[in-house]
Amino acid sequence: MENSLIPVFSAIWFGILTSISPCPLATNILAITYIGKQKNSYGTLIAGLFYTIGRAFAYVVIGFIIVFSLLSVPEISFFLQENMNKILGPLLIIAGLFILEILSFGFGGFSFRENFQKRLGAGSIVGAYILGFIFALSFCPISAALFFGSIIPLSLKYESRLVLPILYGVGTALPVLLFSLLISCSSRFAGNIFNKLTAVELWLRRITGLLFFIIGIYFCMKYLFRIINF
Amino acid sequence: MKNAKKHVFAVFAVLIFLTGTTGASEKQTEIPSEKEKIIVYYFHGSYRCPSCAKIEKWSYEAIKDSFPKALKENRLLWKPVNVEKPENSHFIKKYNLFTKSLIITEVKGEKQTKWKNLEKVWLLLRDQREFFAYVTQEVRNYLDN
Repeated sequence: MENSLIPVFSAIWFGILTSISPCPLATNILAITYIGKQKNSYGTLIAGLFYTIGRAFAYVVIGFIIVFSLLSVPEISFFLQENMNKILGPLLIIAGLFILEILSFGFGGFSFRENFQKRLGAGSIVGAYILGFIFALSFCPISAALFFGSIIPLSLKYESRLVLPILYGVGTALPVLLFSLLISCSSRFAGNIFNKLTAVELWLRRITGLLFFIIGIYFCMKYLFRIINF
Repeated sequence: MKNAKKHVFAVFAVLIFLTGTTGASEKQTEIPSEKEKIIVYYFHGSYRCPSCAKIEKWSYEAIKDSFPKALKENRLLWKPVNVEKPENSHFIKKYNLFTKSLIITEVKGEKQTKWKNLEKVWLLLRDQREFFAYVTQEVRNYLDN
């Protein structure tokens, strides 16, 4: 019993350690604001759950790729660290522009466009899932070290191709979920006190869009153009 | 005759001196420090993340503070290596690297006899004392063997 609990707690703890390190701070801020701006705490929990599923699914997929030797650990690790962060910058800028409603889709009727953008801006569960999946794939040195150096060997040792990568994903999402709930509760509280819930929601959406845009530029400067190194 | 004796003595003295110095230099090359080396590599990329910079700094400090004599005698070498440079990319395959890593190796002559990835450095980033103790102990294990 004790032996089976050690890898379980290790996987969750490694996930939490990854999440609270400075490296994924920028993407965590985005996830927190995106998930935290749901209309109520229940919505935040659901979006948080889908964000967690997105992350866990990404780790399971990578685990399978390694277990079935489709790619070696160094190959997949360096590929993801090198390329995902480069792709992330432009993606975040575009997402930010959509959330701010500066960009809009050029297809579908007006109602579709309006509906889609509102859902994107409101922090839909699909958006949260995609965010979780993409952010999990954007490995930084510490997540690569803990996932490829600890979770994968543990998964192989305990023949747990599914459970341990999922638990690691849950661990990486836990701090994000906690802060999202805090933001959600405090913003609702402030909105209710000042009787300006709609205005608070609007500003939360604008802040989220702006953060996506700014962090997207930061990622471009850091990983794509390599102008900055912090 | 006296002069000849003097010359012979001088040549003899020079020969003894030369033999002595040659002997000393041979002796120096034979000491274990020239044959057996412990190399601690820190493999990094061009981009330095805060945690990566901390690992490099703490590792070097731990080694420098704990083994100044071994470092001075070149029995212990500290080598930060950028694996993104083409000439260093072979290290990725050699040590199965998947992130910034601290690797300790034992080299005898030209041959590497053993190596270890000090993976725990990533788990000890919040505790400098533990980090120093871990790196120091691992290096000591290699130096003592």
